[in-house]
Amino acid sequence: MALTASFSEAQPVGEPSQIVFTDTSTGTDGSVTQRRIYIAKADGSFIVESGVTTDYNAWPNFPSSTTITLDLLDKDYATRLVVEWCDVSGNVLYSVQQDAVGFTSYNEDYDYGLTQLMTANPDLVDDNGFRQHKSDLRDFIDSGDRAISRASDLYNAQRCYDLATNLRIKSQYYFNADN
Amino acid sequence: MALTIPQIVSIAEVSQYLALTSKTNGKIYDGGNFNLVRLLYMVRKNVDRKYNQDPTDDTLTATSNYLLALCGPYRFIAEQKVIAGGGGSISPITPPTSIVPYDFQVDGSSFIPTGGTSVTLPIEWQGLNIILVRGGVPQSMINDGVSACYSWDKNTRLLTLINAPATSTELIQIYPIL
Repeated sequence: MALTASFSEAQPVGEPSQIVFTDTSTGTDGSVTQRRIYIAKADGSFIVESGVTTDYNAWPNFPSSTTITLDLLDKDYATRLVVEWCDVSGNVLYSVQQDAVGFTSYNEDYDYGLTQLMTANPDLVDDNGFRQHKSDLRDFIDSGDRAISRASDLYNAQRCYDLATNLRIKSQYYFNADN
Repeated sequence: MALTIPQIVSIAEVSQYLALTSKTNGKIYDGGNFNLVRLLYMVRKNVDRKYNQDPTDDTLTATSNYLLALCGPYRFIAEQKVIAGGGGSISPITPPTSIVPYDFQVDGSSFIPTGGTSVTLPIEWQGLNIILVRGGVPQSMINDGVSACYSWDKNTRLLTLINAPATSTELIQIYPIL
């Protein structure tokens, strides 16, 4: 049976910088020996692991290697994903694209941390800065997800995620969690 | 039987819209200091996502209990909807066919009218405990001779307001504990 190429992706728990790709292809094609993973940002540039000089991340050893973990995210991103199945010479034999995928573990994990703080100190809810900014964080993440799920709009999704990231990296101003 | 985290998430989801419809009717129970609807949504999203990531995460006990506490009095109605017909701690011997909490503003013809001090609840409330909320504040059954409190006889279904009759425009809610 000929190869039907497909893949899935996920972020492992507690590792927001990583993406785990899983090759879910069915069938066979003896010509395929390797894969390439393209992770395109909203601005069209590509995300690759440190030290990689190409636009893609190599995924060798097809079909024996069915998963690969890439450690390459420094914040939340709205991306377009392309995986190519290639022969030994690098000729593309199969290609699968996912138009819009959001990776939001940085901000989602941080948001959960804020809930943990509220659990330990319920009075934080009464703090004007804390509650409003936590609400904003939730809105920014959800809005980015909506831009992706409803419109495959990477540009606006990334803008939303960056607003959430701004709250997270400047938490000392937005969340008086240390008080 | 303890509630599972998926049950707590579902209860919070139901409590969210119950709190919303209560708010839009002009009757607010949110502790007076935050939009409960919004808070339930935010915390529920966090707990649900964490549970889906890792059901064994050891922080989930605390955060899910916090979420359940946020549901306040809406929890009891929500539990009835989420776990309707199920077994466990909230399944009564004779499941009620219909128990609708009371939620009204006191006037001359309300369930407890202006100046009223007692009311007998319908037969389906027999055997149940209740929570009485006045002006958004859960009431105590401890009578110190001064503070507003209440008594409830679950056999006769007689609810008595003590030290403070119902006042005009006051918001009163009566919730069954199943």
